[in-house]
Amino acid sequence: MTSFYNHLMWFTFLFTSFCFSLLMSFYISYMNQALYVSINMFSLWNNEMSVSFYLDYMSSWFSTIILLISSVIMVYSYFYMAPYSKSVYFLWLTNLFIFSMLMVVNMSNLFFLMLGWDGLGLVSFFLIVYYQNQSSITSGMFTLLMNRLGDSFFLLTIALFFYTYPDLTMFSSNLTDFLSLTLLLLTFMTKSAIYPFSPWLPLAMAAPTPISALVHSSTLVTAGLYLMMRFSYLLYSSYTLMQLLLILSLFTSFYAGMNSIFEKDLKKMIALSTLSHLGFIGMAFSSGLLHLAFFHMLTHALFKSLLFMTMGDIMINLNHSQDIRYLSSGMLYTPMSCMVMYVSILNLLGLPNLSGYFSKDLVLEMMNYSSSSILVMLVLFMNVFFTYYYTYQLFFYSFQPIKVLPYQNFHSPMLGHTLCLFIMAISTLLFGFFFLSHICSLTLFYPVPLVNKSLPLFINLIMFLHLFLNTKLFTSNSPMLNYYFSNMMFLSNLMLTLSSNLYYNLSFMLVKSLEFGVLNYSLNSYPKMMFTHLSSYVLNLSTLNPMKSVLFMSSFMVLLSVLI
Amino acid sequence: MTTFLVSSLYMFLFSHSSFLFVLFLTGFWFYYLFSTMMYSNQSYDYLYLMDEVSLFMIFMTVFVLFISYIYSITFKSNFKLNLVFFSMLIFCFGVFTTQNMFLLYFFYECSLLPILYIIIKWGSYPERSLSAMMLLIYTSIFTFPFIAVMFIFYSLNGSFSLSLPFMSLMSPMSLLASLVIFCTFAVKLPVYGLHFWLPMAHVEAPTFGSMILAGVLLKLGGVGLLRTISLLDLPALSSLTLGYFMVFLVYVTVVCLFQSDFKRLVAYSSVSHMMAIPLLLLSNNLMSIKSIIMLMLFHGLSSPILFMLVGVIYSMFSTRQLVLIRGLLLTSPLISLMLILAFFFTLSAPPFPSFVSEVYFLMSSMGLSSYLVYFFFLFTFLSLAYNLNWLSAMVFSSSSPSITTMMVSYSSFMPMITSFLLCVPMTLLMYLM
Repeated sequence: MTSFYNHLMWFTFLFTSFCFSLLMSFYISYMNQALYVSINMFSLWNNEMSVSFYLDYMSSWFSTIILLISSVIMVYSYFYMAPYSKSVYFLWLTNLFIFSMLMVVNMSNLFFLMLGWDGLGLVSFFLIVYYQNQSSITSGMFTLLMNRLGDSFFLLTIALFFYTYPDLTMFSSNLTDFLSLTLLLLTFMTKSAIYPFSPWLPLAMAAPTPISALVHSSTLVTAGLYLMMRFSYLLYSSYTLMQLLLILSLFTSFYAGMNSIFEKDLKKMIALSTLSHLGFIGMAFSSGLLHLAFFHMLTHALFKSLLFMTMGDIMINLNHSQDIRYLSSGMLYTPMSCMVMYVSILNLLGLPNLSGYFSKDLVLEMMNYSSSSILVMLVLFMNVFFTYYYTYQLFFYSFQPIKVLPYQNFHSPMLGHTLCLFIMAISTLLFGFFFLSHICSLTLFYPVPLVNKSLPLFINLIMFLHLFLNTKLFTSNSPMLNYYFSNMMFLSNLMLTLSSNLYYNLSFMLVKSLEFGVLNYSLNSYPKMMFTHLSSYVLNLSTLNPMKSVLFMSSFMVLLSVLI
Repeated sequence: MTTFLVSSLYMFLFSHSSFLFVLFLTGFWFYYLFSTMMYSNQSYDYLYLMDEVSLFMIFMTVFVLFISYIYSITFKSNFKLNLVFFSMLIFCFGVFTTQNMFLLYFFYECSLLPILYIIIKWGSYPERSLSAMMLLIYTSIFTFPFIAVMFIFYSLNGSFSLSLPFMSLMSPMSLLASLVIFCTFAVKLPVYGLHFWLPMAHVEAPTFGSMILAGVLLKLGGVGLLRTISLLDLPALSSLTLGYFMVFLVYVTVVCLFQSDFKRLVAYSSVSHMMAIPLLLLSNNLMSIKSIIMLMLFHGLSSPILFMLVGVIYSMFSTRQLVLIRGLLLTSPLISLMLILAFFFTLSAPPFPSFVSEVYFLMSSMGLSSYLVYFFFLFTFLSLAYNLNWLSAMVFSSSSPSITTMMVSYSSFMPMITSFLLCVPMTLLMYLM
């Protein structure tokens, strides 16, 4: 019962701060203001290291969404984490995680931004290894190492920024050095899992489901994209880097969609869907649609966290099995969770007038005006197709007639839990319209031809009809193909197994030959040998007969006097 | 000062209660604080130098000696132990505050004696004689040429004084002399290549001995380098050794990854921390000097705590092999919390002040060479890798069923808690910088 009060306390705290943050963001966005608060922590001669917060409509709305999701997670995790013993540990770490994300969102000094940035990576490690089994340790370590890669890039960025222009505050630091911009972009790419850095994202699924809901919707993975948007004033100055980002994020989206078709693990599939959305947001950002990308990030955070939470509820009934094929007859066994799941899926699909429609279709339409080639548009619509496909997989399996008896553990959540999920569902439904009509005043609207407007809906309809008439999903029985796609097209093999083997062998060879070989011999055994020789020589000298030693001494004195 | 020392020595010699040393230590600290408060506007007193370096180093010395003393209270031979701690305090105080090159050398060499005594008397394995010999050879091999350099310095300047009014007139010495000065102090740091004595001494020394060794003795070299920095011909030295430091900065972290013994790993990790100091010294600017002090201070706070944890774990499991200590999070949550905190501290993760020193290190030495970016990247990445290695092997691994819950005894619990609590005000010293 104490655990209930712990959860309640954290819920109250987070929900109160959510209310404050909501009022704040209303004020800021309606008055069109930006607040800048700066406190000088310590200074080094004329370089002041100041903790500075920059609150504009972006940071305030993003932190509002984070607080909403995390306060719901607090209630949710009481239900989900009840059987486990380390409840206080879990709650403190989760709140540390949320706190560090809020730091990343609101802080504007690069030096202190690292506080939240590093905190996200390290605390997520402790949350991923929560279950303490071998696979969770492997994935936790890999996640932390990848995040540390980003941290190293970030540290170097700070050092280079400082070296060229000793002001680390956002919007006043000013440089267009290509190396530091590249490092900045690489930093943000590692955290938001853009292509070469992506295999940690499906692995991070080893965390408990409430954490996955937080990580994948609004906290860890969006931190990189959000900071890209904050530093767009620097990043947009390099056309080359933006093109690079466009290609990489488009490919991320493409291969995540491709993999998720073959994925039968429920949580992994949703993780891959997150990855494809991250690629989508990155693409929108890199082609200049800054505010639309931000808008889609917010809606994505809402519906993806909802999807994860309902999946967790269903998975408890499935006795924590994560196979998607056990999802059958969902409406019969878990009607509430499935209802909420459908709400979030429809948002994800972008059905007209739901929030996913406003953000996603706007991006798709505005991409027609960008100067990118037809190939980009082609791949983009391929991605849309993949998105529909893997989302319909969830629909499909949840409407399947039941074949085995997967539902073993009926365990209905309490009323507060259900209410929180309903509140989330309603806010997800309404958020898109509200944000577009009231807040996002910075977007411009261009006329769009009818073909472009109706193309996503058309693909959607085709997919639905295809599945409806065919009543069968595409599955592959080829083990090679399944292996290829379940290892993220060999990328996770390359980054996990191959690189660790290569690293281990190479550096073991190096250590063996240098530390325990050459240096050990030349520095360690040689002086020792010399020392023993010298001491035996002195010993011999002392055992000489006295007359000989007098002779030695006198000859030495003669030599000394000659020298002087 | 002298009357204070004599009276306390008198009190100390005729008392057998070991807590009097702690009383003495705190009394010493307060005396230092009050005596330096009066001279805080001036840079030096007629007796001892009072500047930023000496202030922070004295604070650190008192901290390290205090926690290692209360950890070693279970030892029976009070008188010898007190004598060792007392002489260590005096010698380290001498090195940290002196403005005289001869006295610097004298105290620097004297500080070897207590640690040698600790290793030989309280070490547990027969190999300790070898490690004591290696310690002696390595740390004294460069000091004989240093005497010659010292006399040249005297004949040039007519005084051994290193204090500021004289320093401004000095020109750097020749390359050979500056190399000798550098090596004399770099052995004690230790710089990679001259470090072989360190893991041996750490493995053989008792826990309180390695706490003192890592906490205070490694800083003597750094302080010596800071005091003699204007004698060094830095451009020539940098053209000679920069590449070496850059490569081996990364290489030490690789060596750290291949350690299976926890104590050896911590010893090597302190080598990798200290490899930053020669780089900072070569990029001789205001920020890098500040960063050296910070690095030494925070390493002096974190590594004794880590060594204490090594000792506590050794007393629980009777082993220091990383593969044999499993699943600490379930068997002993307190120790795993301490290990996690120490992990953050040595890793220099942001909430801990060692992060500031790390960032200052990267910022201030960036100007040395454009290739440093790549080495820094590898260094920061691999320093997480080896720290994560021990943390995940001991704390987060799945525990084998043979291990039952361990009780931490009071004699190891009390020093741990005390050191962590004392560490908090010590880290707030950063704001004085």
